[in-house]
Amino acid sequence: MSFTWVPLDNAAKIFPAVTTEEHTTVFRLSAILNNNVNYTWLQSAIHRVEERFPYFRVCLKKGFFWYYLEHVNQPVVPVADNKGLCRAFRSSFYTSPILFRVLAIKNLISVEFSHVITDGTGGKQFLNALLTAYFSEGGIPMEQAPDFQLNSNINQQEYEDAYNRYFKSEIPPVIKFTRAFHLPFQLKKKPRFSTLIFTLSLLEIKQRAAEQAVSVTNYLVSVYLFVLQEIQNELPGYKRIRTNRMLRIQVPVNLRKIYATQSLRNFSLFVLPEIDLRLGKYTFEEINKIVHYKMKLETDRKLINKIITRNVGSEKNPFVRGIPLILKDLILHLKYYTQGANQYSGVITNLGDNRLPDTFSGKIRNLVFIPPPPNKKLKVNCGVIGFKDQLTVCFGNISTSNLLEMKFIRFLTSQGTSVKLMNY
Amino acid sequence: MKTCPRCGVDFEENLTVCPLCLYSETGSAGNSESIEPETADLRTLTGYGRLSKRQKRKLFWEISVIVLLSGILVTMIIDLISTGLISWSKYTITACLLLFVNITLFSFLRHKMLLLLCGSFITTSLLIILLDIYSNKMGWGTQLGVPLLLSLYLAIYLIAILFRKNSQHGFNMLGYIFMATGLLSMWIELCVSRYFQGRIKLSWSLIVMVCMLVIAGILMYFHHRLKKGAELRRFFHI
Repeated sequence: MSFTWVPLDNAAKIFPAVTTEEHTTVFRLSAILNNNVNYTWLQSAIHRVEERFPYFRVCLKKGFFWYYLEHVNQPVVPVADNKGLCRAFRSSFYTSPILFRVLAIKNLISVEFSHVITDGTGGKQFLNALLTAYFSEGGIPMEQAPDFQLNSNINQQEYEDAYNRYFKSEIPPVIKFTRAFHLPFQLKKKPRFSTLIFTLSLLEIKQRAAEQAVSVTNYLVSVYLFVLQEIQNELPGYKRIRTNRMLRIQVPVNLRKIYATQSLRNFSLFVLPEIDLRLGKYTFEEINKIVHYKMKLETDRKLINKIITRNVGSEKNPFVRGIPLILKDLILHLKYYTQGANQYSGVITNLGDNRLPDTFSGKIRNLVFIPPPPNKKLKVNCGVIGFKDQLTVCFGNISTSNLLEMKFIRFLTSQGTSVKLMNY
Repeated sequence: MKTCPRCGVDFEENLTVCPLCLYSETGSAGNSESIEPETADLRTLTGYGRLSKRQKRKLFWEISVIVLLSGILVTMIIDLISTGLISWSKYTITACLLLFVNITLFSFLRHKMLLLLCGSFITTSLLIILLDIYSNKMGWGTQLGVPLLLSLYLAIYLIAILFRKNSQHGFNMLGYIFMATGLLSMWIELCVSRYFQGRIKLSWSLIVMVCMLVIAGILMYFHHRLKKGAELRRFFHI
């Protein structure tokens, strides 16, 4: 490992400016095992995995112009999972914490990552490597997870800022979005973040999606939009007219599938499928069609280039670079809440189907992906992960209402998909 | 293998404490959440060393009240006996009352900084105004004393806020204090020139301010260098 410090990648630059005790920008991936966690195996597994992922063993430091990540030469130890979900990584007196943690309780192994260091795909690969090492400590012959080799050498590409690599100058700027509808729910008292997790049969949901000729992600996005439409329509007359009538969902797209890179730092962008309620009420079939084509159009490489250029271009601007960090934080914070968070009504992150080797996948009951706590405007977000024949959907919520989740589940069951609530 | 009854994780038989959550069957292992504030109050008073901090503060307050009240009574009685009225003793009575209020504030409102400083500022201002009145009302209390006092309290408040907001306390705090001192000296000169000369004029305080800024800058630089042990390239990467 050659680096002692690295600048933040393009997507990570916003996170330190908007991170608070409630909006932690920390996400979690959990594996529910059939048996209780064995502490000795876990500790040895962490030791092996932290050596393989040195670029995650970093802490956040403040520079004069930008934040940066500094390598921490301390071992990672597992912590008891008894203090709430997706807690912030707080700096204390002269120390900055490593921006990920491994947690354990009963039969649950979890990893929590600050979005500053990686995205869901990076986190997923780390969890897969950890589980591989954990079960090999327990005597199960080590068979590598298909998308990651624990014994392979560290490739420099794994910690590159892939946005920078694929940045092209002289591409026209992206059109700005109008404000979107936001759920009119009241915020909970602190600590606000809670989750509602349920599992679906992967086969059933694939069938439902196939009936609409869309992918599972697009199907879930359509359900989300359909439910938001219902909530908007059920608002009392005055409120309904006053609120924005554009429903827009932020769907993160894993850019590793489009661009060749092995980077395990943030490398995703968002597609924003939308429906405009000013044009009338949409049927579920219409929403599916819109989402399908919007997703196809906006994951076009040329369009993605345009967004990368917009994002990285502003970072490369000499004027922006010369602004001291203290002012940058303030500007980014204001921009995030006045522009970024205003553009969408919900977020749905699908990490896809997670395949683990047969030798130990039978020892894992399920996987759960808990998205970072949503911001105050969004109030609710959603994380999805597939494992074996199940799809686990997790709604993160900071409001007092579970209406969206309830309507989401009700819609799925009305379509013939069986839903099982999970006691996480 | 043993299973921890609290976190449910399996660990080696030979361990007596759960390595994950530090639960011990004997109940003695390091759980940091063990001491409740209520239990701290119920500790027996067998010696000063065993008292909780809260109890020590209360004891200090009680002793202070006794000393101050005695001081007020004694001076008042002597004054009454010797002069037949309250004359010079009004100074000691006022000062003792001010001390009493400030000690009470510091003893019981330690964690409510704004309230504490406001209370302390109001009472001290009152003392200055009263002293001004006692000395045949020359006007220095309201025109000079209170504004200077206000600036001092504001500087203290600012430094206290910076102390709380900063997770790292080293040379940077000294730097803040130097900067606050520079600002304070400018304010003092401003008030003094306005009171004595009837116009606003800055001379010596500007020199003080520049010196303080240089010293503060050096301290801040040292703080960041020592804190990170890092290269400047890292800190100033653009």
